[in-house]
Amino acid sequence: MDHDRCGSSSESKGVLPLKRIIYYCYGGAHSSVMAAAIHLGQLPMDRVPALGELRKIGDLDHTQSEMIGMLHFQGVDTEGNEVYTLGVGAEPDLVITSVQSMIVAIGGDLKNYLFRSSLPYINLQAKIGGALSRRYGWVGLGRKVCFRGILSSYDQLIAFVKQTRTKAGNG
Amino acid sequence: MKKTLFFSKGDGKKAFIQALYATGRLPHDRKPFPHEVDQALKAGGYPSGKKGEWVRISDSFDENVVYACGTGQSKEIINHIWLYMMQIEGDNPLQWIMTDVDLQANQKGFYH
Repeated sequence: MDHDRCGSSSESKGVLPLKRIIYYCYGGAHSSVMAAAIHLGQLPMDRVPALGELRKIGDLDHTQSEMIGMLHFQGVDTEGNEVYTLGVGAEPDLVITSVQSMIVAIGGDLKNYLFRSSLPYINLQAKIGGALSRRYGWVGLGRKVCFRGILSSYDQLIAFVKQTRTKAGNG
Repeated sequence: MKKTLFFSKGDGKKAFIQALYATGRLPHDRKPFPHEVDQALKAGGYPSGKKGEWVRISDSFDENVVYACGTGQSKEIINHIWLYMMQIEGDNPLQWIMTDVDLQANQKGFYH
């Protein structure tokens, strides 16, 4: 899977002048929300947060399945880039390709977008917990399993967000 | 200027055929031969190498722009995102005709 999707004419240049960073995952409820929260400084980049800090992230484990495909504006980062989260379902490559060509069709510029797949940066425990909570409605158990999984893969999320910030020109 | 997207599930074959009729690349006055359909599909960019891509069927000098797209199993998701992208980019939704060919295939005026 291609985890870094942006305008092909700009990809070779490395650092891009981007304005809209879209973190996407299956449901838009966990890994993308975590990545956005770290990116925007709502969660720390230098340590693993406490469980209580995760609970303060409003969208984390709250998106319903019918909200897949809805673009959630999460905030503006220190460099002025807009940060969004998006659930793309089970066909991420197809959906992102479609979104990229629709942007061109409606007159947008792909150089203004950075699409980042965050799903590979949480572990299996977080994914299972997320599915228990969101898909099967076992919120109590699922959230507990999911949050612990997220915390144990937090370092990967930090590295991913740092990489994203670099690509976006935030250093 | 009107912009039309024909879309259908899977690789979008129905959508491509409909877009080919809409742009005059398949005849309206008779049923095309299978080889004509195959040739027109190939010339129109079907199947797209990139799944989900909006393939422009109309020529660049056409006033009205026609696209075709296969949406896989993600039709609703793509439609959702389209509405948000229209807002972000400030395009006018009234310029667009979004046609779900899977829904329309049995209606009068549609070819299948």
